[in-house]
Amino acid sequence: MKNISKKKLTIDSMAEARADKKFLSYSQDAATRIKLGIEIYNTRTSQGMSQQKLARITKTTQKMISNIESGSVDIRFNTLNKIKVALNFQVANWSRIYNFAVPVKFYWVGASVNKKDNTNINKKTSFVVSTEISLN
Amino acid sequence: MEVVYYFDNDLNLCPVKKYLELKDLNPDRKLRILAELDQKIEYVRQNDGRPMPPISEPLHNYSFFEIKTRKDRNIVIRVLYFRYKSQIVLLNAFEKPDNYNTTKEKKIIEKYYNLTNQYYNQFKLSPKNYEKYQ
Repeated sequence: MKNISKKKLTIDSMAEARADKKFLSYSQDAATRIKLGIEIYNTRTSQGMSQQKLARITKTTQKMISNIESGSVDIRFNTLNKIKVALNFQVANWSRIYNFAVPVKFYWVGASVNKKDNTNINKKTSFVVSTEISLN
Repeated sequence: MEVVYYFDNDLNLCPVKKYLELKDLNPDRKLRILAELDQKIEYVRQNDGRPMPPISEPLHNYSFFEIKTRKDRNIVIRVLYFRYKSQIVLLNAFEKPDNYNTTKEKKIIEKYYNLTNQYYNQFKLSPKNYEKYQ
């Protein structure tokens, strides 16, 4: 690095901001907005949907969709609800935003597996199938 | 990966660090913008500096990427960075209006990108010219 003593004095705003009491709270809010934006972007693009089309369906603007996806705006509940429906959000989508394990429903499907071939399988788990619960 | 500010010898300062002073904003708005930008930089760092839309995107004709953060209703802050070995180097930052149509405005934007390209080349020649992002 060059001679530090000759450097112009520049305020380290980021370091100063970290010392502020509100910074952690604002960071947590931003982190959630960013994760929501990424989830909307990934789901939308995986469905081959353009921002314009999503904006049309949710009765908002392409600029607003762009802002939401970049995590720069505090999204209104009504808009979020419309986006959720338009993109068919499942529990797995919310779990990635809010960091929780996806709950599963277990079904007893009966003793349909040949026990002779599965003698070492735990009985409690060998006869169940699971599906993701939909909140929609 | 380590995040660092590019230090420019001629200017004798770090362009991104200087920009982040954001003197025209009220303290609370500045804090919110810095918190959001910090989270985006952290997301980029977790992804080894790779451009990950919608948070960071590559630029046509340039070897660096950009992180966008909204400053206000009509202006977006662009932070330009690139990956160098195990570092994410924050090269430059500037403001871009949502709508710009005049040749003059387009030239100003182009100037920022070209200037950043100079920083990029300069850093590759002197990779010790940096300050830590804290």
